[in-house]
Amino acid sequence: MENAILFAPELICLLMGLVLFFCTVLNWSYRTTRGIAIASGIAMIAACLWTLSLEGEPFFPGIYAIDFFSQLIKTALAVGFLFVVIASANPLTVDRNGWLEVPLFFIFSTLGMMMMVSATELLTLYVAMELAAYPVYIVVALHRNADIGGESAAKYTVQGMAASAISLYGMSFLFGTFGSTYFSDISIPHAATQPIFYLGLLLTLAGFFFKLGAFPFHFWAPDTYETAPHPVITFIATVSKVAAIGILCRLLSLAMPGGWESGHAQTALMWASVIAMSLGNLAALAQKDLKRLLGYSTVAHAGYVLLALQTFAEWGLTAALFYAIGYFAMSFACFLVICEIGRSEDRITIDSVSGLYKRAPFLSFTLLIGLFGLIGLPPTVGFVGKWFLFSAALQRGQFYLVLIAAINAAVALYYYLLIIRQLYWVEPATQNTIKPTPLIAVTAMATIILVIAMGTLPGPFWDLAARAARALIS
Amino acid sequence: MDTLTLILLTTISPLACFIIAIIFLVQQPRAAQGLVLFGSAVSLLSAIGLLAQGPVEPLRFLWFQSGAIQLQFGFILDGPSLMFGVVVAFITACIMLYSIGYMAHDPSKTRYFAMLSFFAWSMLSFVYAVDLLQSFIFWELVGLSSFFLIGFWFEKPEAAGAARKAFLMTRVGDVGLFIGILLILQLVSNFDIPSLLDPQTGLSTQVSPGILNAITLLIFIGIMGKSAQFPLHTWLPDAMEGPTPVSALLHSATMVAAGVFLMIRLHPLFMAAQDTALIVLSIATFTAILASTIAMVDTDIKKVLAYSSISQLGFMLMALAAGSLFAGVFHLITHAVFKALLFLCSGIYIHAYHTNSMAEIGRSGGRRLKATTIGLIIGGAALSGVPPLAGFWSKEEIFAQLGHNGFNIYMAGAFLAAFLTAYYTFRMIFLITKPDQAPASDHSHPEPLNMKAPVLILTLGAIALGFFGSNIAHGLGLIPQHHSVILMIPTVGVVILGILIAYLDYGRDNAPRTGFISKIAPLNTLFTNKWYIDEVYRVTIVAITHALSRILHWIENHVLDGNYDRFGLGILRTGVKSTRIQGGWMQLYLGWAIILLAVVALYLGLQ
Repeated sequence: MENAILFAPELICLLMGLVLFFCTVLNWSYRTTRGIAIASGIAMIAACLWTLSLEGEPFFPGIYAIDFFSQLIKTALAVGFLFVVIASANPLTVDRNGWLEVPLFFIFSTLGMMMMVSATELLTLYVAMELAAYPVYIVVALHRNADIGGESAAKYTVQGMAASAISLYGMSFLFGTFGSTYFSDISIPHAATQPIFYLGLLLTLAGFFFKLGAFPFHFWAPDTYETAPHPVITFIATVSKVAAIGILCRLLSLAMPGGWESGHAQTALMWASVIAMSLGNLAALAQKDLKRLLGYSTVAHAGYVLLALQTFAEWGLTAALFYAIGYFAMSFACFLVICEIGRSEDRITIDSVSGLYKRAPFLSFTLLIGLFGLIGLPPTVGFVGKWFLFSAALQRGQFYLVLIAAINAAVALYYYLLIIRQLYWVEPATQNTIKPTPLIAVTAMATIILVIAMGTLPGPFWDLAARAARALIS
Repeated sequence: MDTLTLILLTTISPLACFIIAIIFLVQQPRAAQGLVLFGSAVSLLSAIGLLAQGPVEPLRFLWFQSGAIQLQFGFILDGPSLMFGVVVAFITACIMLYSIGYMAHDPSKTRYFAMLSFFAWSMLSFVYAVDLLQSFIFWELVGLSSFFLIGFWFEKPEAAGAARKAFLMTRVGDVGLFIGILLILQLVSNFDIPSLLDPQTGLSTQVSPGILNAITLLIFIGIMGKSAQFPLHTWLPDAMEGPTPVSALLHSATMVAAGVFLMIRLHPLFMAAQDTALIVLSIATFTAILASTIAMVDTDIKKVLAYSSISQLGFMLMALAAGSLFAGVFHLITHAVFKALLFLCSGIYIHAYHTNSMAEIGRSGGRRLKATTIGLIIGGAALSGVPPLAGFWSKEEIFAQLGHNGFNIYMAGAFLAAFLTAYYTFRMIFLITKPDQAPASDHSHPEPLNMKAPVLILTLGAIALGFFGSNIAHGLGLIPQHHSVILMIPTVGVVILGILIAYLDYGRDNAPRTGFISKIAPLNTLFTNKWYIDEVYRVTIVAITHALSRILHWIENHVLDGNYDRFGLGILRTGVKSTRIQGGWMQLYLGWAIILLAVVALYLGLQ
C-alpha cells in the first residue's frame, strides 16, 4: 500500500491513460475526452502534491526513487499536462480523425517523463525516455495536411531515434566502466575521474539534449516547431522541456564531485552552451515564422540553462531547476496565444499577430508577458531566472562566459521586440476579434500570475528548487 | 480588527479601486466615482482606527535578501505616520466628494477618479513606508500620479507642458535623493528606517559628520524638488493647469507634503547633520520670502495660492531645520486643512465665473456665494495666522522655536514672510469681496451641496484644529510647551500690520487698488516677473542643454548612426547566414551531431 501511495501520480496517469484509451475506442466526443483529460490532470496534480514530501523506493529498490526532486518535477509536469490539454481546446490543425487521440498520447508521454525523472537505473531511464518520446512522434505526424505532418514527423522522429541510439551507446560505456547500471554504483567519486566515464556521460546526455533542443541536437527544433500542429508543439515546448532539464540535472549530479575539477565534461558543456545560445539567437533574428522563431529561441534558452549546469555546483542545479519552472510558464504564455490565434492557420507568421491588441486585448497582453519573460525583463521570472543562471557561472569566476550570455540576451531583444511591435504598433489586417473561453482566460491569467509572482517573490520558489537540488546531491 | 488588517485596508483599498475602475468601469463613470469614493471612505475609517489604536511596533515583511542587504516592505506606525495618514485620507475623501460636482461634465471622469485613487494609494503607502527603498518607490509613484493629474487635460498644450515640467523638475531633485539613498546602502547596507534613526546604533553613529552632511544634503535636494523650494520651485505654479481639486490635493496633503514628510521621517538624521540643517534653514527662509513677494503681485487666484503653498512649505522646513519636529508636523497638518479649503473655494469661484482673475471674480459677484466666501475668509485668516484660527497656533510654534534657538536673522525673515502672507491673503480676500464696481446682474447659481459640504467641513477644521496642538504633541511623544503671551505679541503685530496695509491698498472705499509695492518700480517689476527665475533657467540650463543636444545630435547623425546601423545589420546578416546550416537536410543534421561528438570523444581520449 505504501508503495502504491509513493507511485500514486504515475498510477493515476496510467489509469487515466487507459480511460482515455477507451474514450477513443468508444469514439466519444472530443469535448468529453478533453474534459476527462482535464479531470485527470487535476487528479495528477493532487497526487503529486500529496506525495511531494515523501521519499522512498517503491516496488523495485535501486532503480526507481521517489524524492523531493522527482516529485517537484512531476508536479510541474502534471500542471503542464493540464495546461496543454486546456490549450488544445480546438486542435484544428490536427487531423480531424486524430483529435480524440491527442490527449491520450499526451498523457502517456507525461507518464514516460514522470518515470524518467524518478529512474535511478540506466535501462529504466532509457525505457522511460522512449515511452515519453513515442507518443509525441505520433502526434507530430497528425497534421491535417498529410505532407506537412509527414515532413515534421520524419525530421523529429529520425533525429530523436538517432539521439536515443547515441544515448544507448553512451550508457553501454557507463556500464562498461562501472559494471553496473545503477546510479548508486555509477556515482562513486573516485572512479569518476576516468575519461571514459565522461565520454559515456556526454553520449548519454545526447538523448536528453535532443529533448531540450540543445546544440548539437537542436536541428529538429526550428523545422518541427514550424510544422507541427500548435497544441503538439505547445506540449513539446513546455512539458517536455521541464522533463529534459530535470533529467539533465539528475545525470549531471552523478558527475558533481569531480565534474568541474577534471574539466573535460565541463569544457564540452561550456562550448555546447555558448554555441547553442549564439546560434539560437542569431538565427532567430532572421525568422518571419513565429513558431520557427520560438524554436530558435528555445535553442538559445537551452544554452542559458547549460550555462548553469556546466558549473557542476548545487547553486547551478538550483538555478536550472528554477529556470525550468519559469521557462515553462513563459513559453506556455506564448504558445497558449499561438494555439488561440492559430485555430485555422497552419503557419503563424509575425504578420499574423499584427495589431492583436485590438482583436484580442487579453491574449495580446498574455503574449506580451510571455515575451517579456523570454527577454528577461523585470518583474518577470525571466529576469530573476537569468540572474540566477548567470550568477551560478559568475560564482565559478566565468566572467567572460556571462558576458557572452549577456550580449546574447541583448541580441535576442531585437527579435522579441519585433513581435511586440507587431502586437501593439501595427494595424491589424483583419478585424476578426478572438474571444478566449473562460477556461482559457483563467489559464492565461494563472500563467501571467506565475510569471510575475516568480519574478517578484522568487524566494519560496527558489527554496523549493534548492530543496530539490539538495535531494539530488545527497 | 487587528493592526495588519487595518493598515492593509488603509493602503490597499485605493489601489483596488484604481485597478477595478481603470480596467472595468471606463464606460460607467458613475459606478467608478461611487466605487472610488467608497474606497476612500474605507481607507479613511481604517486610518482613523489605526490612530485610535495608537503607536505600535513597525510591521515588516521580507521582500528579498541579497547577501547582507535585506529589502523589506512594511508599515511604520508611529505618531507622525498615524496622524498624517489620517490627514491624507481625510483630505482625499473631501476632495473626491467635491470633485463629483466639479468634474460632473468631464468626458473622462473614470480616468480622473481612478487616478485620484492611485494618488491616494501612493501617498498613503509612502507615509507608512518602513523601508527607505519602499519610501523611494512610493515617492516616485506620488510624482508619477501628479504627472498624470496635472496633465489630466493633456489636449491643452499648457497642461501637458506643466505636467512635463513638474515631472522633470522633481526628477532633478530625485536624482539627489537616490544618490543619497545609495550612499546609505553602500555605507551601512541597511534600509530599515527605524534602525537607521536609532540614536545608539543608527546611521549618525556609524558615519563621519561630513558624510552624514553629504547624505542629508542629497536627500534634501529631493525634498527641494518635491516640496518646491528655491531653486526647484518653478514647477508648482505651472502645475495649476490641472483641475482645481487636483491642485487642492497636490498642495495640501500629497505631493508637496511628501517632501516635508520625508524630512519629518528622517528628522533625527537632519538634526545630527548641523551644516545641512543650517542650509535647509537658509533655503527655506529665503523661499518663504521669495514666494510671498511673488504672491503679492500676481492676479490669478490659483497662482497666488500656489506661491503661498511654496512659502508655507518654507515655514514647515524652517521649523524642522530649527529643531522642532512638533512645529513642523503641526504646521503641515493645519496647512493641509486650510490650504485644501482655500483651493476648494477658489475652485467654486472658477467653476461659477470661468475666470481665474481675482478682480474678475469680485466684479462678477463672488461674494454672493455665501458659504464659499465665508470659507475663503476663514481659510485666508487661518493662512495669515489670525488668532485663534489653526494657522496662528502652528505658526506661533515656529516662531517660538526660531526664537528659542537664537536664529535671529531667520526669525526676522520669518516675520517678514508672515507679514507678506497676511498682506497677500487679505489682498485676495478684499479683491473678491470688495469689487471696484458693483456686479452687473446676478447670473450665478448657488454652489451644489456636494461641493459645499467639503468646504464647510474644512472650514470647521481650519477653525478648530489649532486647539489640538497638545494632542498632536502627545501623539509625537513630546510634551507641549506653553509659550508666554508676550511672545505672541510680535506675531500678532505683523499679521495685523499686513492686514491693515492690505485694507488701505484694496479694502477701504476709494482704495487705490494697487499694491504699495508698485511705488517701488524695480521691485515691482522683479516680483511681477517672478524674480526672472524661469528666464534665468531659459538662458542658462535650458540653453546649455539645447546646445549640448545639438552637438550630440550631430555626432549621432554623422558618427554613430551609420556605424551602429552597419554593426546591427552585420549581426543580422550573420544571423541569416547561420540559418544556412539549417537546410532541411536531415542527413546533414545528424552528420553534424555525430562529427561533433566524435571530436569530443577524440579530445577526451587524447587527454
